[in-house]
Amino acid sequence: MALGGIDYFIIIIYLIGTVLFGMYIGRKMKSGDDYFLAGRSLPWWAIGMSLVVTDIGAVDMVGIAGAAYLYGIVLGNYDWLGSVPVMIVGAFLFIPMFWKSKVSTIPEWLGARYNQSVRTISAVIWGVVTAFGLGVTLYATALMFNLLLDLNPKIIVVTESQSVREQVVDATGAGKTHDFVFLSDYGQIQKVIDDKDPNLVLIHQDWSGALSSESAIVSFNENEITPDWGESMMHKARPPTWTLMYSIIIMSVLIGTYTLFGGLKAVVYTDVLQCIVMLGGSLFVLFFGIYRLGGVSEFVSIIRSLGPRAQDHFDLILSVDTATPHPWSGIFLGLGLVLANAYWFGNQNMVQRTLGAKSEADAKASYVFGSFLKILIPFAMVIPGIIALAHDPNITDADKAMAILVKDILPTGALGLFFAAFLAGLMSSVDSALNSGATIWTKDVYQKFIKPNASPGDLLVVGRWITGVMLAIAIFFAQFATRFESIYDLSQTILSLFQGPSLAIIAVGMLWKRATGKAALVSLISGVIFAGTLMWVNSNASVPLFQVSEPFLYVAWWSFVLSIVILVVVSLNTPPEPESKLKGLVYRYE
Amino acid sequence: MNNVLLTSTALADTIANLFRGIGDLMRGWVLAIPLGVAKGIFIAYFILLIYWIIKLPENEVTLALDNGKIVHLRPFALFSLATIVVIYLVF
Repeated sequence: MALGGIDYFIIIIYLIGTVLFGMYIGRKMKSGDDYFLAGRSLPWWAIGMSLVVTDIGAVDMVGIAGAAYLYGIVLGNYDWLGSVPVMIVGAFLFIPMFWKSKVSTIPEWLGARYNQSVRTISAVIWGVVTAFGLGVTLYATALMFNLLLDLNPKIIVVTESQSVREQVVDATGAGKTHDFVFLSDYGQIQKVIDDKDPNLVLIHQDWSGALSSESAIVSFNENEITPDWGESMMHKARPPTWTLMYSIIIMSVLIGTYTLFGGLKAVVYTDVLQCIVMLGGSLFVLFFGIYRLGGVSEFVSIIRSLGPRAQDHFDLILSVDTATPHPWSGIFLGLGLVLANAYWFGNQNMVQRTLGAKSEADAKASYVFGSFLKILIPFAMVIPGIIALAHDPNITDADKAMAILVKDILPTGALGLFFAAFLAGLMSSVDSALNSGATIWTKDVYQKFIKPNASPGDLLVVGRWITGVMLAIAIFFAQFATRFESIYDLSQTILSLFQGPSLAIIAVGMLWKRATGKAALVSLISGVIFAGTLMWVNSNASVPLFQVSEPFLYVAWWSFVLSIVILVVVSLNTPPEPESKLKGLVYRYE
Repeated sequence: MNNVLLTSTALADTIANLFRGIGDLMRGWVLAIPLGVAKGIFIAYFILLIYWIIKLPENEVTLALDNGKIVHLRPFALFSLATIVVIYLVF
């Protein structure tokens, strides 16, 4: 099913409406505080919805559904373990502490609690990671955008051999910029050509049947399959006339417009609209997808019938020696105890909107409300990935599973709604990261080092400039995201380098008044170096250090543990911080 | 170039060997835990949080809004955690 006129109408109305709405909300911007913290005026329900929709951006819609296609419901752990309990802890412990300290950024809090060196290092790390993360998000968007709008060239590969199919996938980079259809029944070639209208048909070994097609038709044998051959075949299909980069730039301009004008307030209130559209669209795919498969029991039996590849698809707890990147030990230690906590109260993207809450009550209530909404997310994101597997078990690039599912099953109109939902997810992630990254660079770098006496008006102007520069950097980084197999794993891998050490100094600093600034500095630097070393050793040693395919969960856990040990040991060997400095910055120490 | 690659692999192998012994030992311990017990660890964690929420002082879970209304956050937090316990029991 291709997009119809009504779909394009819905999409265009949604895009224009969101941009205008964002600009309207942010029309009275006068100062840096208005821009970065919405003048501390945000209510709990808006923050709660904004938190949820920011967390489930386009990366999740593409990456989590793709990973669920491969690995199953185990991906639900990222919300049910990685969000719900952690947000509740955050609501009653960490978030009120941040709010009461009246800071604008987490690095600013670290500066108050420890020292300015910790603040600066933390600010630079988060500023750079945010720009890189934005690039990944933009890349995910472009993939979906091109697939849904049918902008990729199509290649049909006809072969009875599974190994030849795998060789073609390897040689062509799993078809990130071209859409592949694999066919094993030679008698069906003409029918599939008529149906798909491909740009190129690749037929394994000699075949003498007559074909009526305007497509290029090439016979090949397995000895020819090399990366150069794959490249030349993709070029023969025709180079993409609409590249991923065009999609990235269009999205960047739309989002940049209202974020640049409206700041955090525009971000949060457009997120409310996007939360409704995205949850509605995704849950529609869930129910309609299961309905099209014949109901829940039919859906489960199709998955069960797929044999060993899907035997664990309905298990949240996977063995330590699972072939997936999600063993229970890594999920519990790395995700549940480290990455999730670091994400929900150590990540400026998330925490910033609670700093803009109009009261401590609103800040707390927003996280509790968000945790309630997060229970629904795996039903909207993970299970549709498994539905895609039941619908089509032969998708070669799992990151395209969700897009293929919605294109195949949704009727005209609903497809436009889903596409708008996807855009909602994308926009919410990008606008939040842009705003929080700009806040860090403006408050923790510009105001701290370049112009300490900057007026509120100066900060507003600089914040807007930095927003534009960050967007340009993100567009540059987006070109390199294609090198990684799964978008979601990529973003998690990057975060795992920094999140363990960051969480260690925030959590220990908030819970233990004996933690010192010097110790935090040593702990943060050592933790990041240790995490980077583990990743480097794992990919360069003759035998990988970790026995899972993507060890980011274990890296996060061990760098967290090391950072805590160093923080405690060095703190006990350095003079304590003055009592007066710690009041209001350590839990229950007013 | 090849020498550089060989050196980096050798260095990575040396560092990996430092960790591998203790890593394999710990992996053996974790592998010995049955999946049912592992699921129990997850559920125990949620129950621990439920206990913590129940024990929080009233002033930390009860909030006065601008319009004078009092909001009790504890029941909402407990509901979310209880739902998660049910989900982990099912899957």
